[in-house]
Amino acid sequence: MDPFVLALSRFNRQKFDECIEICTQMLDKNPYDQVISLIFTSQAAWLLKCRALTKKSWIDDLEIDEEGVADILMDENAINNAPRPGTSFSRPLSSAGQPGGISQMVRPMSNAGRPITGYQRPGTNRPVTGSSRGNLATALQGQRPGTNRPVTSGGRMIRLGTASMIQQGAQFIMADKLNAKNVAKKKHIAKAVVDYLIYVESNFRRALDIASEATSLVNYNDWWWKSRIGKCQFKMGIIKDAEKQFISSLKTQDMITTQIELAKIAIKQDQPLRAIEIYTNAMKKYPYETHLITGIARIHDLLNDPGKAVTFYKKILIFDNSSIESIAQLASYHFYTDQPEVALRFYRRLVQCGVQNTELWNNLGLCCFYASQYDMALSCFDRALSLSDDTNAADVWYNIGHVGIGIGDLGLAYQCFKIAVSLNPNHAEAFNNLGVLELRRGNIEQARNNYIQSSKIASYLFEPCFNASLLMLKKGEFQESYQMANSAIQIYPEHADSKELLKTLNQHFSVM
Amino acid sequence: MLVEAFDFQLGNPVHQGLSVIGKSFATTGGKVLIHSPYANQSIAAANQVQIAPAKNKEMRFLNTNKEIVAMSAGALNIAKDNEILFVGSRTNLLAYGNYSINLTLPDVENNCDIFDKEVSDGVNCLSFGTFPQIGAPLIVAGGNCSITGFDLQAEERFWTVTGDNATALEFLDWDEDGDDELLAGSEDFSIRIFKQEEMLQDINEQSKIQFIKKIHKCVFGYSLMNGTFGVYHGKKRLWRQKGKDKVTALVGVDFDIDGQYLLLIGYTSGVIEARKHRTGDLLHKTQVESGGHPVSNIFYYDFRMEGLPQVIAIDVEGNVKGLALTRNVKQFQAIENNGDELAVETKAIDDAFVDLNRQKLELMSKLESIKEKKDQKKAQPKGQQQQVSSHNLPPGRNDIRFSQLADPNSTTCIMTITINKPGWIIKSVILCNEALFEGESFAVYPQQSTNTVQIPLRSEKNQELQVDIKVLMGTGLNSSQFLIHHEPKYTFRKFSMFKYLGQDQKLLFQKPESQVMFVCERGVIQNIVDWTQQSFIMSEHGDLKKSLIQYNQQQIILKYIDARSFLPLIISAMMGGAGLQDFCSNFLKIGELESTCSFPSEIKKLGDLLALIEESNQLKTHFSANISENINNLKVQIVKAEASLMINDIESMKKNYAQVQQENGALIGEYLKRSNNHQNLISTLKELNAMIKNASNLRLGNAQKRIVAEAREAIKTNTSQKIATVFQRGTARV
Repeated sequence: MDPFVLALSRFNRQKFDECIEICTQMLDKNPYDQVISLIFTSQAAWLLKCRALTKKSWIDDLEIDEEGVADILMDENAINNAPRPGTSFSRPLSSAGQPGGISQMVRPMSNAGRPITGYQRPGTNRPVTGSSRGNLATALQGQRPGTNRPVTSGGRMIRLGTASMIQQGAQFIMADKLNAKNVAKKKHIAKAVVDYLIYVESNFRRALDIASEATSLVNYNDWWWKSRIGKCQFKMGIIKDAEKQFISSLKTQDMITTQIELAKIAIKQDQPLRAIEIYTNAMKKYPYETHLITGIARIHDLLNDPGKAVTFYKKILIFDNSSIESIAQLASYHFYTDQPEVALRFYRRLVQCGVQNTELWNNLGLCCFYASQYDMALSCFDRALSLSDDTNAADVWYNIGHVGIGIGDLGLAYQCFKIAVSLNPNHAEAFNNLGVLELRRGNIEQARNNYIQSSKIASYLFEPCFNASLLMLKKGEFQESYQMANSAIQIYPEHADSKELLKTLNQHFSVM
Repeated sequence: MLVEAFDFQLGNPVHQGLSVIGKSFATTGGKVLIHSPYANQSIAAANQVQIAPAKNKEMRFLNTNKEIVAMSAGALNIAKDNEILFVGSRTNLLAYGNYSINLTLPDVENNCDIFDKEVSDGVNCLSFGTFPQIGAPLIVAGGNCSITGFDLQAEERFWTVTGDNATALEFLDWDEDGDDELLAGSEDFSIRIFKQEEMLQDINEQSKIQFIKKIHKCVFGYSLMNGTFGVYHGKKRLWRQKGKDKVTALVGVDFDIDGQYLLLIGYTSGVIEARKHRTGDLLHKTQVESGGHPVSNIFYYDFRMEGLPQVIAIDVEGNVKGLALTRNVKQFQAIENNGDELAVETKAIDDAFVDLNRQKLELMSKLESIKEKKDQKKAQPKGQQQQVSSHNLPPGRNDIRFSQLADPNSTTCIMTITINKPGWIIKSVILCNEALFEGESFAVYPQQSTNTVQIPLRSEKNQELQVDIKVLMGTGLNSSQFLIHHEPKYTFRKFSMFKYLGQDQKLLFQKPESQVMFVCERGVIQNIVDWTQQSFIMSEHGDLKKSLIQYNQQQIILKYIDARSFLPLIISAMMGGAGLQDFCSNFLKIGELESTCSFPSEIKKLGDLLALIEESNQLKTHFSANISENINNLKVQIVKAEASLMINDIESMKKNYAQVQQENGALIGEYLKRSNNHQNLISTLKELNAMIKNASNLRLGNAQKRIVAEAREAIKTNTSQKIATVFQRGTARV
């Protein structure tokens, strides 16, 4: 059999490694010179290898777009730096007064200062406001070991790119030696090369050079080139130019991916309402496209408007009834709106979909517990623990601790929190709860230390501040109590108990 | 009268001219600061008028990351009520797009960009208005030699060319036909009036135009870079004045005081003056703040939302002062009691008094000089007195000759003044004209006694000028007696810089290869003859077969071929041709004029220009990609360095920061490259636009409009051949 036909067949069956191997052998026999291509087969083999390499390390970069610390800290894309609440990611709606909004009392916050969602995605970790912005030390600090910490340099893309490079060993295309003009002239090869540069080498600079040559060769009439230029410029941070390329590409040929990329630009510029507008306009043409609906739903989520987001997640399920993200989001929404039974049904659906991980079993356990199915709860946690590793075991133990408190077994709870803290010394919630338990045992000093430790680790938690304030009020340390109560109010302005506390403190001060 | 109404501080410096006032915001430059006192009353309905001035001012900043060059505000979307803020910005070190109009945060409330459009011709000024023919409101940007209008969808709906950089734009009903025209002031000292793409009028001024502001209907105020300001009523200039301080802000107020509207002028000294529109009389004078900081901008707007607009002035330190307008209380009452007649009567009496007073002063000074002369005569011996008196009759008007002749060797036009009266010499000559001389006047004192004075004159532009000439004559250099001959309106002809060549001289110069041809009616030929006589300096009349030469080697040959009524003008440079034709057509009173022309050298240059533009555009993306790569590297290095610092690894921190420095140097290098490239691009575009302007000026009426539109179309599609055809034949369509 002709090795090329074999390679083609392997490529079609997505057996890229085997395909690459055959192509490499063919190329060893007849090396393909990029400038002069006399032998057809070697050119074909070269092209096929290029495609196979690209396909192998292809990632859906519409979804994965995580920014590095550098981009987060030195971000100047946003235009309005004091926008109205609800019109910017950096100023999400506060929960009070929102139909369907969930109180901060009930729903915990992620370390980025956003209410946690049912589904972890890249990009949701972007710090909102306050301490972690503009401060390298806090930006680099991860809450849980191995998660959440933003990457040091220019985003996740580069790391993926280099990782695959190492695997590959030798470099297939010497990007820096390519002559952009010559490559651009060979239309089809140019497309393969550009994709290779983007997805395998993450060398957006060279890809951009080739693409801009190519697009002028076809008189700016090929949407593909324009969208690729946009993609490269977006990755390189030339946001405004990228936007122009995408718009122009859409004019030539309306594509869903391009629409989504355009919306991503609006998101990057911190203009959520504009992003929603782009999605909605695109939906007029593609009303059944779940990616667009997902986009809208995610933005509502990021703006702390879960009530609106949920309607879109439900819509997605009409078209795609096994959308993991939607199910997970709906489940968490129902859980935090006090409907654990409903949430349980969604989580069961996830199990049916084949999801098997610690977080899911942990959530199932919690749902069972709040739905009063105590026997099921503990076995779920058991399963979660058996699946867990260092990154998430602490959370499971923390939840088991909650169960302990719920059934009145304070000893169990104390032990669980201790284990959680030992697994993750930065587990602020566990510290806070430990503080409460210590106080019950009468160890005032230890309780206080726990609260302070907790509030130090997590500046987004109001509970340790309030607890500490209450404790200090009882001890008569009014000044410190006042400070703590104030920081609690700052984190959660509508917290009634903190307000009450401040009022009493004010009375005390005026008496003095 | 202006009465102080309110004042407050923005607490932030405001760049000169970079502020705008709209329904809910006044903003400032650099970063855009939005001051909206009513926002926290009702955020959703910030445009509602019923709210009283609030105590809590709300300020916020918008980040454009770019150098802001112009701002404007207006309701671009007719369907919605809210106003949109337009920000025109220039590229800066970190920015990516070159010269873009960022219509940033038009929806300030919703935090959205409406559009962000790159304008290749650049943005110097922005204005907001409606062309009746287009219907929708447009945001109009004045750039290099061009004016571009965009609608809500960021579509280009209007494009035309103007001379040099457009510096001021204003919409007003100039010809009083009920529809607004666009007035554009530019750096080539001209105010042009556009009705759509067609240029109605070109008003020449003496310096770069700084502001044009509408006062009322067709009355508008203007100011120049050299500090002059004044008021036009349509074509007619009502008055002009030049102050000591530079003008930094200007606004017209159509608030009727004694039947006169107001022009408010802000100066670098922080002084604000209110002047009457008809005479320029100073009505009121005040300061924004006692510190005397330059005025940044003045608005006439209902800031307090009480139904009557106020005058609001901002200085560069961010101090804001509001002035309410009232009519003078006394006069107000007088008018109310006795009606308008009394006011008119008192005014007439006042005027008469002033007039009489002036006459009195003049007479007194005359009397004095006569007395003096009499004294001198008495002192002189009798015999001499007889001699003197024989030729002491003063030279009459006919004895003084003015003549002009262009001089090819010195590229000037020499004016010769001669006295044909024996015994009299010219002591000195004073010439006054604001355009011809720097400092408006020029004086000549001949060293020897002579009866002829030659004065070289040089006009950069081909324009007709009125020169005020005073000739001081005397009997001898040392005699204290002199007479003044005053020639108030000597006409400096439009084409004084051209010289007529006779048949013999013609051989010295090459026959120009370019020419313009147009068809005209038999009847207007006499007009053309008249026109040449009025505009050129010619020694003989009659035959229209003339040849003229200007000293910078621009030649004009006028030929008149009777049989076919063709009038070819042979001109070696399109520039000269444009001015000639334009004036010629104005003079001939023809509304529509088609012409064909051929400019081989210019067309060749056109091809080069287009190639240059193409090249610069490609380089631009290359450079900005380089810059962003540098920036990305820089960011990563900084983070690495800081991270090293956190773990006390000073060694690698140093290394990383060294790299940061290196990267920074590279970044600046790239930036310089890009900025050079950009400068080239801009100047090339400017040349191209100037060419379009000249070509369009060779036609009139619809033909003019069409040429602009088609040339723009051809540039967009980048077909140089088509542009050449448009230039030569007036249209690309067959």
